[in-house]
Amino acid sequence: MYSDPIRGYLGGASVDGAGQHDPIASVGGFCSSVPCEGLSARRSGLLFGVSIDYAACANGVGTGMLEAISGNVLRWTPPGGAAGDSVTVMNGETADICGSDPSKFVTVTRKSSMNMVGIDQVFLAEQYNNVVSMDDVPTELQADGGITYSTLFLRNVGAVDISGFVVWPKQPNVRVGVDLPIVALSNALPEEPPISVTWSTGNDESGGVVIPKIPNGFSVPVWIERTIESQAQASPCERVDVEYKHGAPPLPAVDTSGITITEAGCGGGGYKNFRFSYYSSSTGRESQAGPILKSPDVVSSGFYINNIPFSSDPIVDKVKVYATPYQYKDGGEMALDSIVDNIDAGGGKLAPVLSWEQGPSGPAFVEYLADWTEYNGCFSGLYRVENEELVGYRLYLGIDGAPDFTQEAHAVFTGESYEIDGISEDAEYHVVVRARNKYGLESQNTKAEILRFGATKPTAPELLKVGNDANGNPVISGIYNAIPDKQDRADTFLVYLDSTGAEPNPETDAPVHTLSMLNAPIDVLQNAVIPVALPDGAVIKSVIRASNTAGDDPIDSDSSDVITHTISTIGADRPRGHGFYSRIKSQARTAQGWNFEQQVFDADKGILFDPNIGVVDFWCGVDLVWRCVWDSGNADSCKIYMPSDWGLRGRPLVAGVGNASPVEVAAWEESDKTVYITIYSGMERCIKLDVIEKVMYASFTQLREHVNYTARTPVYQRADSVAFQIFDPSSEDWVTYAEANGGSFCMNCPMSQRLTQEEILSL
Amino acid sequence: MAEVEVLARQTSPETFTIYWGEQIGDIEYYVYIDGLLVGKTTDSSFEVRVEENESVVVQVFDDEEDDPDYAISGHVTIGWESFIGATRYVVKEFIGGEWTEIATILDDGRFYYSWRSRFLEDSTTHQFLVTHIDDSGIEGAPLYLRCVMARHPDVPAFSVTYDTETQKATVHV
Repeated sequence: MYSDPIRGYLGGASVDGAGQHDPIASVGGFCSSVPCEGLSARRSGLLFGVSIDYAACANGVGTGMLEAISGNVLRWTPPGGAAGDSVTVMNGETADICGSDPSKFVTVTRKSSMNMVGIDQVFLAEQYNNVVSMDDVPTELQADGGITYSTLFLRNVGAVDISGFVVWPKQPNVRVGVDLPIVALSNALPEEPPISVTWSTGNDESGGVVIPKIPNGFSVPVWIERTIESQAQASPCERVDVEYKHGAPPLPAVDTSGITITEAGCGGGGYKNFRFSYYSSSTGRESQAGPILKSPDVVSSGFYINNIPFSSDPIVDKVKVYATPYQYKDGGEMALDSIVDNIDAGGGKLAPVLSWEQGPSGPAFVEYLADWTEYNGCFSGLYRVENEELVGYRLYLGIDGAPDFTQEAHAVFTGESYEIDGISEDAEYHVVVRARNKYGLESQNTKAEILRFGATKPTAPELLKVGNDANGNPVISGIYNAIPDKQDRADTFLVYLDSTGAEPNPETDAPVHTLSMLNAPIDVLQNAVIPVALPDGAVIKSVIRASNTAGDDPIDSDSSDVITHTISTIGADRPRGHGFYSRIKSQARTAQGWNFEQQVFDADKGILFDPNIGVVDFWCGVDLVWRCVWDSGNADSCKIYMPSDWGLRGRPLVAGVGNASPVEVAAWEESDKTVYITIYSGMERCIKLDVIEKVMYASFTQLREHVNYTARTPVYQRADSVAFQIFDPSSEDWVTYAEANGGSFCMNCPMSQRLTQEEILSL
Repeated sequence: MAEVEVLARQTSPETFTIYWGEQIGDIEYYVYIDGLLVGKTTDSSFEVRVEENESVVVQVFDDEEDDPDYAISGHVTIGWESFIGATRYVVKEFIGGEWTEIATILDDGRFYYSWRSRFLEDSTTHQFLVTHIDDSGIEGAPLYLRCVMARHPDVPAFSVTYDTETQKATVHV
């Protein structure tokens, strides 16, 4: 049993047509249909197919839990109590489900053979069996500052504690009991002193109390305390919220003359005595219900409702359908509670959502849409109004913030596009589009598309480095990283070069080259060759920009910083590199075992480093060459320098000029005449060896000597330059790096000459 | 107390994790899917499973007294009573011009059987057949069910273009 907590209703449907519980039964007063001996139970949850008939008062007030332990087993946990034993309840059975305290129980009836699944939250409240009615008396209406006020006319306020007492609808004035003296009635909070009011007992319209001025649309709390003559103590103070909604002209009643109801199925029950009213969601008003549509018999639980006429009032958006459900029991009909269904209305025909045809023999459908939700006492999902004019879109727009979905949509349109005028290029627009189907249902919200219109520049890219290949083509690396959620999605890199000594001016110069981005909003230029071969020794100044070319007029970013580079085309080609590394490898094979900390490097020793961030193959033999794993994603930490001043040969190799911090050695091992040393990652790339002096001197000397000796090496060589092999995990390739300016060696400058890893390993 | 603002992260093709920030104290959260309570948790996240292309309304409240918004399911559940002699029931759906068998439900002695459809396309008529089959493999006369799915539409895809001269943005759906 579902019982409503006490509510205030606006009576006098003939006056205003405002919402009320039962348009037929309510005129002239309301009565409850709730017996008083138990607690009222209001449920929410997934558990269906079982009803709560009774909730014992011993449960107390609060929220309990009715849960299906398995398909046929229920368990009850009373408010604030502990769960009791599980109870098997088969279809059609009625059972008491107790908490750990047997006095705290609910009586339930299983009404479906479907397996019970889920949990219901059951809110239990005290029942006073009160009814508060509110009259909207026309003579009391006032207009004050644009707000319409009405009076609150309370009547039929009472408390009944007679066990088993039931008041049925349609008999509002039949009340069993005594006149119920009202000792206090307050429209203030309970901790404030009650306001004495004049109360006229009685059950007709002459009885009750008047509280003036309730603003339209406001809910007024009224606290009621009762004393029953037979009881010594007053009842608890109970809060009743009475809402007043005023609507000026009454909504027209539904013309039911053309409405037909066709049965669409069979089942264990059905409905009859259909009534219809128009309803406006925006105003909360409801029309007077039309006459009862007499159906020839109980209509099954599946049915069509056809030909509900359009409402002439545009604010009407729903049709409420009232009917009395019946179920067959013991060969007869047994009335259940009234049901109400809200159907989105735009007029026209209610399209049946479901229909069926039963075969000559076989199983019978018993429910057609078991997915309906018993929610607030309403069915849903059985049928909808079909109206093609409703199909379209709703545009919600928020400026510099999310749209306010509680307000009307910015626009409703039915075509495939909609123009938004008056765009501000300084604002950020948050756009959400909902689709609406012919049943008046809208799609769900998704994350708003955040847009900024106008000449918003893309984020400026960063130019990381500039080099050149053996043909004199500049080789550049850079990155574009768009600011999140900004409408500056660039799609193209623009490269500007100037070899005259001046800085390029992208405002007037044309880009010498463009490169499409493949991975915006974050894209990387990695060693991109710019096909503008320049002579050896040419000094170029380079900048790059990011450009959004999606529109009619491309929008360019600001320029990156300028990098100056001198073209140098001296170098050898790959085949000669093969010989170079071949020699190195052969020399390594001749290395002898040695003690890392004590041994002085000489021509027949070799070492190999393996920092966490990458492998540094540090070979030391007759000739010295470096093989490193270089993490291009962490380039700043991977630069390896040698001191430029050879007078400082005693200093260790450091990551940065003047930085002599030693690298901590995490581990090292010796294997096959080679020492592997692991260096902690995340630190400055500093290599410290006790014998660094020897390493540096001997290495450099030997390498120079080697380079000179193998004049056809693949490595880049100039007067002060040597070569290194660096493994870049990003490209998974070994790259020959080398640069020496002023006697220092920088490992982060790529050369075009490369050997693949396979080539290295084949040496 | 009120509805809790939630974020969602897709964790697999069919699952999302919804989360609502840092849990404070022992607050119990009530998770509703399409208006139905599907779980209670004191955690700050909850996993939601959806079908392909299915969209659901997810609401989380920190008060059990709060009511979810009205939402409509995109599924249809067909129920039928058992048939004497039937050993199984075959459910077929009319897909692409053919009746396609999509489920077989064994008769295990229950009085009532039901089957829940996939997430059905909106504003479209769908047709189903339920046929009972006896232990000799003989099919009975099928029941025919025709339904029009009226649910919340799918989220529309849209794009926006902008004319710098007229300062008008156009939403294209």
